[in-house]
Amino acid sequence: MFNDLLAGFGDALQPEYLLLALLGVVIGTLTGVLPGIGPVGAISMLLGLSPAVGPTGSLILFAGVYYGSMYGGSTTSILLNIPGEANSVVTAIDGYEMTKRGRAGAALTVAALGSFIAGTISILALAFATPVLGDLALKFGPPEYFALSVAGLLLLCILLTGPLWKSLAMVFLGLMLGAVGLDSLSAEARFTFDTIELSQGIGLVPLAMGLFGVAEVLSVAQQVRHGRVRRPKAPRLRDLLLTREEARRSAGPIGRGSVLGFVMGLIPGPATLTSTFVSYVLEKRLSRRKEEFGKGAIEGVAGPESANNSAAAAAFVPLISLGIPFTPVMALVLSALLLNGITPGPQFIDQHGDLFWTVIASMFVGNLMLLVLNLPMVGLFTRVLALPVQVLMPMILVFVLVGAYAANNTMWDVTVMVCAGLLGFVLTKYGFHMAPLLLAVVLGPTLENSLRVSLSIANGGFGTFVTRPISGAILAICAAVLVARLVWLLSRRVRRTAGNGDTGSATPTTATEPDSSTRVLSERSNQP
Amino acid sequence: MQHVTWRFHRPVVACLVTAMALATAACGDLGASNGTGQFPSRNIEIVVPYPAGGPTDTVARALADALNKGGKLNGHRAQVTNLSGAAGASAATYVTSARQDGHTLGVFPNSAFTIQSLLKDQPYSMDGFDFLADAARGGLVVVVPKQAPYDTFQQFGEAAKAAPGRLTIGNPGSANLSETEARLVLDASGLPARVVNFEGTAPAMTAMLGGNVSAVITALGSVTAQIESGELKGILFIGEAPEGSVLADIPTLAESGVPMASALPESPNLVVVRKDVPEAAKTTLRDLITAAASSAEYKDVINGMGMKIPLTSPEENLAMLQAELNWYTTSGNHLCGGGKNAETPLCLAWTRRPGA
Repeated sequence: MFNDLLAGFGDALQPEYLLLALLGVVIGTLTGVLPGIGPVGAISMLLGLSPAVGPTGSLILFAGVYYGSMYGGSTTSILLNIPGEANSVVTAIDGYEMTKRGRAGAALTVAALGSFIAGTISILALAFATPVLGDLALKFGPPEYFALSVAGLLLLCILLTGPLWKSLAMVFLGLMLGAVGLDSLSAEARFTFDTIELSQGIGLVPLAMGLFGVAEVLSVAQQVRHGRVRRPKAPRLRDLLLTREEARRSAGPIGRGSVLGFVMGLIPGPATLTSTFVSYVLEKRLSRRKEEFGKGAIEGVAGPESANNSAAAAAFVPLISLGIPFTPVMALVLSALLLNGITPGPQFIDQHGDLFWTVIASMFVGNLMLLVLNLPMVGLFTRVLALPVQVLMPMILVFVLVGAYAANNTMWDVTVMVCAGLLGFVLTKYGFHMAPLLLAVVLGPTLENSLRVSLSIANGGFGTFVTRPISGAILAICAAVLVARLVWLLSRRVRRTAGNGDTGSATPTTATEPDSSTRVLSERSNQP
Repeated sequence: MQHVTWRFHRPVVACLVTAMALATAACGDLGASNGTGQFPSRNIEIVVPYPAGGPTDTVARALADALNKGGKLNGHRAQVTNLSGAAGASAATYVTSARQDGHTLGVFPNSAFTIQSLLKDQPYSMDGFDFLADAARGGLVVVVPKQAPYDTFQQFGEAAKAAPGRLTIGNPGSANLSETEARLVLDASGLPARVVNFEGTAPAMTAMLGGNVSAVITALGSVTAQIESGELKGILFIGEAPEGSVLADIPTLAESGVPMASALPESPNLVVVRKDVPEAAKTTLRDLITAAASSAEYKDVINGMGMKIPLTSPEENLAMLQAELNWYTTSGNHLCGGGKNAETPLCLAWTRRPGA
């Protein structure tokens, strides 16, 4: 195997493949940084090149774009609280808080390092364990997808700060938004009001850009109007590096994120996105500094950013070992292979070994290129913060408008984005989290389809969810966590009423948060 | 600080320019036609009603590639645009409202003009199009995993009868040919197996390989490689397999003793153009498509997916669609399986169709 890999490096280091890998990672980084166009859009546009660059070249190019966009997506999340693409929504939570505290450079550096390490680990797994892992993916059937979707939504709600009902309300709103359009199992129109636009459903890209991007621009505009804008300053050069403490705290999350992302990437569905949520929740659970999450904990950037890169590499496993694309990006890769007269299937590594090993080797090369490209860019990107908001915010608005239009070439997406922006602005002002809303929109169709397909397979029996070991175990954990949370809330309330009457203002959430005055202080102390 | 501010303004502007460039690239070539020169006088746009990456998209892209390599486009290019959404209605209205100079084509499956227009009022109709060519046509196949205890459809039938309601046939989604044919086959052979709808071929195949459904019925392109490698066993072929391929060994309906005339045609990939395009342009287009579809590379891609290249005439294509429409209107109640499938979405849609 090592000989195969070495031969692969021999091929991958040819100038034309090196050039394609470079082109891929640069385009990928750009699509990641720019809001709107994600990896699916970019690869769709490049698919026309596929017959010209051949099967190996296409795979190298598309793989570069795919993980390049995972790298790039974190940049705007961290600096501006505007995710460059949906996979970086979670990164914005703590990444932007780090920026506010003057640690933008550290956040960007750890995102790049985490992506690199996760990328390397997952490419190794892809190279040496693909045939074994393909079978693992098959252990998960529709009941397991259902259980996982329930677990994802529930755990996120429970672990977010703020009242549980607000998070649950956002989940239900998200599930409703996700149900708009043609139902994918029976093509029945739902909530479409007989319009063609709504029958296509509400696009994830314009929705995410509205809820996070436009809403952020609006909220800054409001602060400017009230004369109390407090934008983070661009950090000085020596603040760009990780401190020893930060590096130590990041190591665990990066390792766990890499493994978690890879395992989740093997399961069909939007794994690059969901793995970031799960990683965040996991790190918060494991951390001894839970209270720092949401206030700029470096673990909240390191874990998710590693997880999404790892999940991106894992998505190749089912395509290569089974010939089945689990994600839209992999469907495009399959199409590129078909156009070159190659039909991937279980015999792919045997029949096209040289192609496989060249692509694997080139992934290592591309991953290294990304690190080398991205680390020096950290200093450059953080200078964006030096722009006055009156210049920066209108520019961002133009970016997201162009991006929303460019993804599908329709004005409808722009309308959706603006509406989502207004909604996000108002809801955020009233203390609702946007993360569960977005996750519900993403997982809603998986949740619904897997429920319906499971019931259809079991001929209507709900027992299938608890009698199957994996889904039963996941659902049992969910129930246990929910019960524990409710008992905890109730016991608190009982204790509080039993204590004295005048602490009614102390809600469960503010009790776990540090006092807002210390937060302002820590922000100030970091400013030069 | 001010000079620092403006110095670093530039990368952002560069990014903006790139975004604009990408956006313009996505919009395709908007160059004006000179109106007097030979056909084509600008780039040819081939619209696909699905996102990039599916079988129809692959056919369209292979065709575009063959057209470009043919070198008869007067220096212009053929390029594919994916306009998914509204179950094909967006792409269809795009083609019928394009300029009348014949530079906007579409590649559509038959269902867009037959069952979908029967089930729901559509903003387009069959009359608005000319069906220039059938670029690729494939049958349907019922597959089972290699370790499954049945090698033929008869054995599958026996297993189904031995355990009524236990065996399941997955299909890639409702209101498509796969579900219709699955119900028709089970109906005709009187098998007590159930049909399970999935949201695409990939989830259905994954569920079958994981042992969650017994078999899957789907279009050929997506499973040909797995059948060739022996990972999947084809137990029933609906249609006509391309000669000489491993698919030709799969038993057909008649060979499996299913008493059902294959009334529905195989799935064509129809190249369409709006009807009122000048005849001269249509003739040139047909010649260009015929030449492209005869190229070795195009044949490799299409045959590799297990499909044939019929290149029927526009009249034959129209007649085929008419025959399918007639079949639905006269025998559509088959979709309800004589009342047995009355609750299925397909049957409900059928009974509620406009003008029913």
